Amino acid sequence: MEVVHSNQVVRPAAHVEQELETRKVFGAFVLFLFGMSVPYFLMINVRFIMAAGFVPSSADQTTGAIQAVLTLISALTAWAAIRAIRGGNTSAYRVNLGLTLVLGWVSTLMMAWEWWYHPFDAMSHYGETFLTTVGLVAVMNLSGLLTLWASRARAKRLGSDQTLVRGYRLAGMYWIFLAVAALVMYIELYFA
Amino acid sequence: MASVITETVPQQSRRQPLPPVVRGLIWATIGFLVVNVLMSYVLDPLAGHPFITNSSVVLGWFAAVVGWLLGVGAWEEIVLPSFGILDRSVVTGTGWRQYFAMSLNHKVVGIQYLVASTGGFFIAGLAAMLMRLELMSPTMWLFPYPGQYLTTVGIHGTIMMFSVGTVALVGGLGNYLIPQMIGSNRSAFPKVSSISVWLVPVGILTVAFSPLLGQWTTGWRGYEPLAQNDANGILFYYLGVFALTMSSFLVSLNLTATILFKRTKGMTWNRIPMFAWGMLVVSLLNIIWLPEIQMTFVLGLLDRLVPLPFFTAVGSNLTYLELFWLFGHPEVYIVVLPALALWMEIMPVMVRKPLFAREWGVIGVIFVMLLSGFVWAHHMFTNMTYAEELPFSFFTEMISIPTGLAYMVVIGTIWKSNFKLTVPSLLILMSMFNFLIGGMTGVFNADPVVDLQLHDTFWVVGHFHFTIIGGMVFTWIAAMYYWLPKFSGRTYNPKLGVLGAIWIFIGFDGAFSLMFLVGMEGMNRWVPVYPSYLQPLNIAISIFAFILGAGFLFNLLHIWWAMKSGPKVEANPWKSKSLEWMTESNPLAENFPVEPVVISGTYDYDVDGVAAIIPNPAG
Ligand code: HEM
Ligand SMILES: [Cu+2]
Repeated sequence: MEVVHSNQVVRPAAHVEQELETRKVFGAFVLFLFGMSVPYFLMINVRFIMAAGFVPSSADQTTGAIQAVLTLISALTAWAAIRAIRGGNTSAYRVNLGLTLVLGWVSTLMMAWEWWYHPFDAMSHYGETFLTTVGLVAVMNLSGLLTLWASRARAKRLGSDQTLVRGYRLAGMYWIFLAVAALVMYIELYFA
Repeated sequence: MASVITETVPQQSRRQPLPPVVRGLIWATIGFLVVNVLMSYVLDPLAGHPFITNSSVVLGWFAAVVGWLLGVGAWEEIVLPSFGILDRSVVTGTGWRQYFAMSLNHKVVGIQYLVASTGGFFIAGLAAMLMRLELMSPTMWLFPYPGQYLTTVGIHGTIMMFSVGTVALVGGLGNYLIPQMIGSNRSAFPKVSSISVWLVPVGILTVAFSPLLGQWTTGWRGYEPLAQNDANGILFYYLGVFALTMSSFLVSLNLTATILFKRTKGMTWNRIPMFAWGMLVVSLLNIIWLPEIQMTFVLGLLDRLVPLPFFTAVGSNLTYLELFWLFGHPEVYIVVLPALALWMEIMPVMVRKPLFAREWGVIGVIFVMLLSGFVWAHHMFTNMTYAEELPFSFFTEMISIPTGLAYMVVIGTIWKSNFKLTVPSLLILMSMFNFLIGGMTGVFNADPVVDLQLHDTFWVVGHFHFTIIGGMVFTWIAAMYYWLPKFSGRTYNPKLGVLGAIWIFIGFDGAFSLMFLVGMEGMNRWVPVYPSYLQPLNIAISIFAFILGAGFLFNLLHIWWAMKSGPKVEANPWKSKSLEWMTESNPLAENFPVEPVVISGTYDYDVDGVAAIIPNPAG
């Protein structure tokens, strides 16, 4: 067996390598989301153990509804951002991501409000699961907002080179995951 | 900012002002102080009295960890690039300095993990020695208060499980070996592992220093509502475990992606090494169950900080047990599956015969992984009705079938071979023997009627140490001897190696088989005092335990010595066909200057010739 030290290796064509890289990144991303969904499932479980399907009549439907609508729109803007960057349109990407960031921040800050003002006893079983579930969504949202912010800054500084687009798309997709999770939790907390 | 991007200064020309670890420590200190002061002076109505409160220490801890990670290199390697700022300074260092900074070299990371894990092993081992010392007398004589003894038990168990059992074979050997074994030069996401390893020392130290906040009497399981009755040491238990599990979670993502997507040409699914299969199934368990336990611990933390009544309110106190063991049983397979895989990895090389019934070995580890999610309540037989016990008892006993497949594969491989007794193969045989005892005593625990008698006695302590030390630690040491030439280009002294193996075998089997006995005679777990008729057995156990502790130390020193000044050996002393032996032994070198191509199975010892070739650039 001869070990050859050389730089003239026959490498797979560049697009094949990119294709492999994309599969790797998206494959790992799916695994990551799989893991990240576990805490949400756990909170759903715990809520049903603690409070069954109980929702107090005093739960503030308006705050929850506004928040859910904002979250839904933010998922759509994130989706628009992904489409823009796939078409190579960096500025549209940044605009849409900016919108997502604003909507995301508003809905996340509304959670702080929900923490502060909640028309039921925090020490009740509904109360404790409500506060912690909202807390989980808020903390995860913060991680998403940080990702969006970084991605937007990167797009501004580095442009839309083909190898970078993958990362830009991932940021948007991560936010969509968080938005869907937040909506599921909204339904669980206010209706189930 | 824009000017930064266009800079073309070669990276090495810029110097880092401070060594990364020092900078990490400074940033961690600053982070802690700022946030702690903010919490205890600015936001606390009782400004500054006391200086450290429950919430200030928790948030301060998070700030410290962020500061530490940024300081050791995440700032330049991860944060700035993700904002598109291509920084100029190098934090990775060169030569030996690479070991003291974030490193993108998977072998350096593997060694960092191994060193951190070994550190955890000896810190927790020291705790075990203290426990055994205390238990030599039926009265309190070493620890002034029972709570201190129980805190020691908790520190021992927690550090052993989360920084050794979960980490050494995955973060350590996994990072080091997996990319080489599948013919890649790097892991799928080098930055992920390069940062995750720095969470291990954080976690170990956090748990080890938990008594600073007060005692905790729950053991490694953090049982609620018991935890809420303790002083505040449990806070550092939650936080330390959070850091350690985060580390393992990240490693698992990286290793899974590496095995799935970084295989070289010809490394097809039916040629994936057994150790890689082990890493794959363990990683899946980690990716599901580590977030689960993290969220559970967050709830426990909030129960104490806010406080919320999650696990303490009337009628909800079994919830924590359920949530803990949902993770807890898969955890024991997280510990042992890599070891089963290592048996199957190393044995064919030792006996120079193809791996017997390879598919069944793969099926075995996959089914162990799947079944491990269905058995958690066998830890709670004392709290269940008979009808509830039955399915859990059934599934638990079923797990012995896929586990048995691993035995079948290894024994079939040894069968009618020219088996060579070497230090690694000796240790693996010892491991198989010990794990068998662990497994067979587990069958008794799986039977509710018997378990109601054995529950919470030293029988159980004997059982799980036979599975963990017997299964995992013996195999870990076997692997260290086996891959020693890979790590260092040197090898061990065979006589000292055999001595070391026999030494720990005697210490271990002596101490822990007597635990079955003392347990059946009525010795409870989690007690520093006991009826005096149990003293003779306990003294014997302690003496064997000290022999064992010294034996581990002996093996550590021997391996250390061998790496530095053991006899030099050729690149592939075992004549293994596996790809990692095609690479250079220097961990700082690149694995494959040219990508290898796998042309046959890596366990095909019945045919001559290599399993992989380095293609010639011309053809
Ligand atoms: C140096 C050899 C060791 C000795 C002498 C030793 C001894 C002990 C003793 C005396 C206990 C307390 C039992 C009780 O009162 O319940 C214990 C608990 C425990 N040990 Fe070890 N041990 C050793 C190594 C290990 C290793 C290597 C691991 C895992 C990697 C481990 C994991 C545990 C766990 C999880 C517990 C339970 C702690 C708890 O109850 O919370 N031990 N050990
Ligand atoms: Cu179990």
